[in-house]
Amino acid sequence: MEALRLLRVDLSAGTVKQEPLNPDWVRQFIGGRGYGTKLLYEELKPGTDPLSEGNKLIFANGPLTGSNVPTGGRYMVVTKSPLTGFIASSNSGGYWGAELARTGYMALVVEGKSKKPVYLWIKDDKAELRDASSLWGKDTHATTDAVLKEVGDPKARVACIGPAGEKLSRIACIINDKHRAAGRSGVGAVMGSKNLKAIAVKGSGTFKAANPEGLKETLRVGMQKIKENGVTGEGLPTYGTAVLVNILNQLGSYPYKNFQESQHEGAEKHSGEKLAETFLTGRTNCFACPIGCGRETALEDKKGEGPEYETLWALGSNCGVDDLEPIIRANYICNELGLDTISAGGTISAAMELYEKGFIPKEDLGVGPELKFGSADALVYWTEKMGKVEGLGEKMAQGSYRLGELYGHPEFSITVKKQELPAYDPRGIQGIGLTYAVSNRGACHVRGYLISPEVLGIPEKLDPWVTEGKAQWGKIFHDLTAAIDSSGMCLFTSFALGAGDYADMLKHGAGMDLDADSLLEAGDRIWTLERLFNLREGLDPARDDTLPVRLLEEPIPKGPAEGKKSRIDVMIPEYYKLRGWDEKGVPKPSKLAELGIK
Amino acid sequence: MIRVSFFGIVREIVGEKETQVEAEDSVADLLEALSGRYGIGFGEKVLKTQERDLDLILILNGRHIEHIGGLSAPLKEGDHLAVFPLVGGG
Ligand code: SF4
Repeated sequence: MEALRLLRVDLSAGTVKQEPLNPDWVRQFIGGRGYGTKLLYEELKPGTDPLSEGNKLIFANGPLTGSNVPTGGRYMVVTKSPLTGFIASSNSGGYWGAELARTGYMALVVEGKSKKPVYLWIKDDKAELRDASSLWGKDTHATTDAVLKEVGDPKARVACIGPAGEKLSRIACIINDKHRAAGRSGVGAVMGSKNLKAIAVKGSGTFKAANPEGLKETLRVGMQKIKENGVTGEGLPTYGTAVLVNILNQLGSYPYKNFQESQHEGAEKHSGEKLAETFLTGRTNCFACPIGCGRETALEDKKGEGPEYETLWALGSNCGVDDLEPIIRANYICNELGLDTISAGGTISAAMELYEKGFIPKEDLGVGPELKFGSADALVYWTEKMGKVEGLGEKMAQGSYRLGELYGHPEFSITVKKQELPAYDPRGIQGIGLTYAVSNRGACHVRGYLISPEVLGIPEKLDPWVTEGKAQWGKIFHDLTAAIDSSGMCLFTSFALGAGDYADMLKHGAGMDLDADSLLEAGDRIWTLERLFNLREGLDPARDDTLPVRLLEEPIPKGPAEGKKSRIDVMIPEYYKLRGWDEKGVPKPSKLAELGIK
Repeated sequence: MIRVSFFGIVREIVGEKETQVEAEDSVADLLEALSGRYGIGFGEKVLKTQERDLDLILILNGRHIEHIGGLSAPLKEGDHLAVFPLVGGG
């Protein structure tokens, strides 16, 4: 494969154009999340409406996407989020990113807006826009099948949006390979706003390592670590992520009914163990992945992939629902209609609380079932309505914050920067609360997975109830994650690998001059640039780097973590300081100089 | 009695979800007793846990044992120990 390039797609003009990558940006920001952030920061006009044609939608691989390094198949979608108004950067696996790498493009920049629905077909270095009028309205599975048929290559790979993205749901995702999602922050709505239905890719290039001998040895060491590690070698392959349900529930930090409580008696019924006994039919993995955490499942009338831990919780306990069947069904609906499962669950749970407390009037439900916690019917029905953006579902499709605001009670929206929280209660697990509060893309656990030390004990066990030391751990995890997300590898490898391993892979695989320290520094640079982007877009740290009032003021009412509240107030000042930011949360000029950011 | 619940692969190894055990002095003693009962597969997990403090995630009454004395955490009548394999996720 020749040197990787960038493809710029102007949907307003209907043109495509190749460009070289900026080598300085690759050196400083690696690729994927980092390169995408730099590009957006340089090119997006400040104050652009995320759903206007001025926004840019960037798909960016890492330098290792499409290589034979373990899990080297990930890509990022970077854009300005219609959910948060800040940076969106959503990661996905599957096979699409690796196929894009084989075409020779590392990144796609999609700009403007097409007059009519189109899809993009990239075959090696050739790219063309094609009419997608007949695909508009189709779900992600039907779209994928139809595009594959039309391009005439069953081995091509398709990323697309469903009806939720077309109708500009602010919690819409982009689905690739039918089951994998660039899930968070409404990236699917940005694609929909541009009238871009799908991107199909097929390439014939092969990855060429910068230093094949060096890479071989690095891979040997890395693969051994992954195999011998309890999580990547046994836990994830055997049970996937779903086995976390019972652990978090035992700890009493498994949010229940929109975070009103934090332990759910019925959780065992939708646990990983139960899934394995009932609906599980097989395992899947993403490109070049030796871990294989994906789960294949089947209901009587349908089959698909997942649900993952996050989804089991979001559509299960957070909505008060015990049983697997409706959760799996709602998960399938989200994938088909193109909704982020975490935000979908967080929005339904907020709607349930609003309804039960009398703030959503019954007449607004139309013929739909009552929004009551624990109702499987409501879960399935309203997930579908949200995905189709119909009736009350249209209001819900804007996410829980806008829904709550509409009904006069945004405090029932459990969000940070208007994005719904994941499946760990930050009152019982202090460090993850810090990650939620400061995450540049709004509430997120995979910006710095402190659950690893705080719950699982990797690389060492930290007490989840204490705040001491969490700011330091947070900074390291945030920086390392930003670098991994920019490399093209999956974050799950970090249970087994350290900064030095990633640096070695990037060095021998992509010829980058990196060691553990400079890799973490690149992560720091990426995180800081995301912060600068957000500040430019109006982020007010005092207002936005926080958690919902419920988690700061209402203690967990019962269970092992009874009485706990989040203490981000103690962690955040320390965190800002460690980052080289002033007390208001703004990066100091000296820090920017140190990182080489102008 | 102490209530002991098993999860993930450990549940498969011991072949049951839950059991009741006579109260022992500490978590370590309890694990010894269980190794005797469940044999080599479970014994190996326990051994690895003793060596590396890994391999099993042990939660006593909702607290990871690491923060209440580790394997020597004392037990009392009516306690509940949840035994998980080392797992991860996102
Ligand atoms: S660990 Fe799971 S999510 Fe990550 S690349 Fe492998 S299969 Fe995909």
